[in-house]
Amino acid sequence: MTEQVQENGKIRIGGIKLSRELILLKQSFSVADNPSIFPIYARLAQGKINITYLSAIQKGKLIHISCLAANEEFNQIQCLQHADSNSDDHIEILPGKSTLSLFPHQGRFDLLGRILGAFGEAHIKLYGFSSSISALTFVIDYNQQETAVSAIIEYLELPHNHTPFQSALSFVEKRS
Amino acid sequence: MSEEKLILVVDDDPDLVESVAMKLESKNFRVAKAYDGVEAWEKIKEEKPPLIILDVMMPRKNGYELCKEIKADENYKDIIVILLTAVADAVTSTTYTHFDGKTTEADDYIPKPIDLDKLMDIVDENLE
Repeated sequence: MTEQVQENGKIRIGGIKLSRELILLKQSFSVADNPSIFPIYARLAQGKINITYLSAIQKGKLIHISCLAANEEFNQIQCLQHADSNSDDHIEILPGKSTLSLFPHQGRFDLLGRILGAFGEAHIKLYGFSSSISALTFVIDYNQQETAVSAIIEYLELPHNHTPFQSALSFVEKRS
Repeated sequence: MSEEKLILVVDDDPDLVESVAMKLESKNFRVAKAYDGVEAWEKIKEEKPPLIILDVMMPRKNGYELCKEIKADENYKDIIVILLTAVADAVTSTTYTHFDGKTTEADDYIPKPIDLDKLMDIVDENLE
């Protein structure tokens, strides 16, 4: 197994990815209501709105669901929010968010610990966190991306000539 | 059969890279990883892998450009290149097509979404 910690104490990773500006959608339900998580996602699907991130957790008697959508969808999401005036569903819409992902995490909790510690020291607000087979993804404010990267980069060793943090390509899907 | 051969996996989707790498490592291959064409070219010069699994659409340098450079270079033209291509016949936002994958100098291709078992068959066939 390749040694992941360098002599300088940095942890070697393959790359960091920063998303475009995104909208965070949040909804909470009481467990006692035996809710279905489908209504919010049925509405998003109806509006052909893709989501890039999804999490659902239970804290005490409440279930909290959050997802991220492209900033360009803001107006449409607001329309969906108000479309069903009879619905008790309340979706909190928070613009100006983004994701910071780093990979591969190699299943290392010390990597996660260092990142969370660095974010804490730099006062980076965290709105969500998830992991995939390769990446750790953090939901942060879009205007804190640079601060967040600066906070963690001193703990990380990136390959020479690593892929840029932000993709040069940006596609907006056209709807028929 | 694999004898710890080195395979370079190149894709801008880190989860796909990891999935393919895990499959290859389970079959006793060594794996190097890169996340775009420029980084991949550096890895090729450093490690000269006998086989590369290469995505097409990537930032900085796409898979077609990289494949062309590999095959044009006397030092690296014998490296086996397997392209990961979109299944659709044409993607209107790009000029890349499934059939273009067949007409490039790549040695083989596999369509996305990837069937990992099929990918292993293609890897083994090309390394024999």
